[in-house]
Amino acid sequence: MSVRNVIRIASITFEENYRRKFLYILLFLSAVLILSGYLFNPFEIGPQIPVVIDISLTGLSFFAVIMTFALFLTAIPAEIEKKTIYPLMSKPISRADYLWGKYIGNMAMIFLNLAVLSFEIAFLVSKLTGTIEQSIFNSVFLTFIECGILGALITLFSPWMSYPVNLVLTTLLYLAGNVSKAYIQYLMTEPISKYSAILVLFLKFFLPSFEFLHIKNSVVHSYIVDPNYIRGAAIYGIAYILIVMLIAEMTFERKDL
Amino acid sequence: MENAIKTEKLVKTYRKKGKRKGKTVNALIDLNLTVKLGDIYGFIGPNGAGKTTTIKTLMGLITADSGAAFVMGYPAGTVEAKKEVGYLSEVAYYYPFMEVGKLLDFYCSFYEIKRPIRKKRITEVLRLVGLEDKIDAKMSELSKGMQQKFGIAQAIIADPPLLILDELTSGLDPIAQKEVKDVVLQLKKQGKTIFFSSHQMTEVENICDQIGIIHRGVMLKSARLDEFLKEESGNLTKIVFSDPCPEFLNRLKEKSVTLEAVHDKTYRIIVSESEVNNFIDLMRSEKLPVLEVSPHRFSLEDAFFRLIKEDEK
Repeated sequence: MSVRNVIRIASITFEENYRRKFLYILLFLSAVLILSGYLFNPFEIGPQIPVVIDISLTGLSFFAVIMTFALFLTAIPAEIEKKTIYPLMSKPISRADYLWGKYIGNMAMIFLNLAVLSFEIAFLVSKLTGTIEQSIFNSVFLTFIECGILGALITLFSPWMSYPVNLVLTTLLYLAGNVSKAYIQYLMTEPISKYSAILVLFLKFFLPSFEFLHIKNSVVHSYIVDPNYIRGAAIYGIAYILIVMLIAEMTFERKDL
Repeated sequence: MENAIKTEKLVKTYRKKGKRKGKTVNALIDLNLTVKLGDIYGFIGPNGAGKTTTIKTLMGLITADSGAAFVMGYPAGTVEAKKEVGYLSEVAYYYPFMEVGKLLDFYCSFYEIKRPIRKKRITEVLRLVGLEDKIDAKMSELSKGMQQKFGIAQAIIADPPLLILDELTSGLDPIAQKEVKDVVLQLKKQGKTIFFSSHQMTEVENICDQIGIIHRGVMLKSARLDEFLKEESGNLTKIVFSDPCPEFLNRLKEKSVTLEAVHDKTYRIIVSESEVNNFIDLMRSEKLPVLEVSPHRFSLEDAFFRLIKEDEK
């Protein structure tokens, strides 16, 4: 894999995304949602700050997931369908370069949008508290990692599936990945059928644990999150992304274009 | 290395989609192909014969089920092989939001060519294909003919020794076809090896040194063009005569001779060398003017149809 090639493909993917009007609409709607949480807060004092943070981070998280689906679902299939992939793949690049280029280009766009929204949230919260809350950025960072995992899963399936099938499958994986680990642990202690046991083991070991990346509640209630936890969650997420992308690379290598 | 392209027993099978799902189609069957360095190779065959599958395999866009393919001595589809080849796909689309010059620069950047050299090369290539005044135009503003010329430009941007062009002039008007053909001839003068597929027999006949005819995934013939036409034509002679009466024409038809009207009251027959004297005597006995007696050479189109029909039988 050539890093230079990956960067070149990532830049053209970013440039292509940069021209998509719906992203601006999504960004605008999210920004308005976050602002409305601040402007129309029913609480005058006391719970005002947690409510604003809660609404803002929930809105940002929702926006991030929608954007991830929107960018990743079409990125590779559209290139194959429109055949813009032919002149590109005939150049001295490997399929891994292409796959990582598309992935990083899309993630760069998500990063930019999340950065804009997180600064908006930090600004609004600072107007209430008088300080910049570092924990907001930590939460957004882990949301970004969550998008990375989701993006990697969509990338894995997208050369092989139609948009709707990929959408349904990755949505199911996303929802299953949000199942609480405590609940899975509880299921494992219960006497269950063989098939259910397999399902539970699959949930426990193979699906991403998005719950691990959620620190919103701690941020909302001003609990201190151990920096080691954030580092651990980030390492877990990045490792998961690398494994999924490695599998995506191997399967895409055999794909007839 | 004397071969630009070499394939050995290439096999590719597709699974059908839709109603006939599950059934398989043999797109390539033990395909052997050799293209010598410096040649222009015309790859011809009916629709669905396996031309595009072969080309996509050479470019690594699809993977063969078995067999081997080499491009400029490297396994097909590898980064090393792709450094040596420029490719124009059958249906080529380019990023519509990008400008001609910027997109060429983007494609050129993958060859690790330094920026100032890239800039110079872009100007040269655009001049060669006649798009020098479109350097700042958006891709979406180009006509189909211009897009095809851009396709050639992006294929030759890194000055590769081998060009693989799929359906070079498909969908172009006669003027654009001529312009594109002229570009190919100029590239041949520069010593490039060119492998291209086409439906246009006259185009192939005019510019190729070597041809390959593929049908239903099988290479029916691969040979030097002149040798192939000579071989297909055999020892045939063409006799042109005029003013025959209808009875005479009927007598010729009964003899199973290939009879064609050239123009008003002038006809030609194609006979084997050994029969020439008999037919001339026959015409003289009828006091018909014999206008021409010359060796007959099949056109590529004639030879192509004959081979395909024979294979279908």
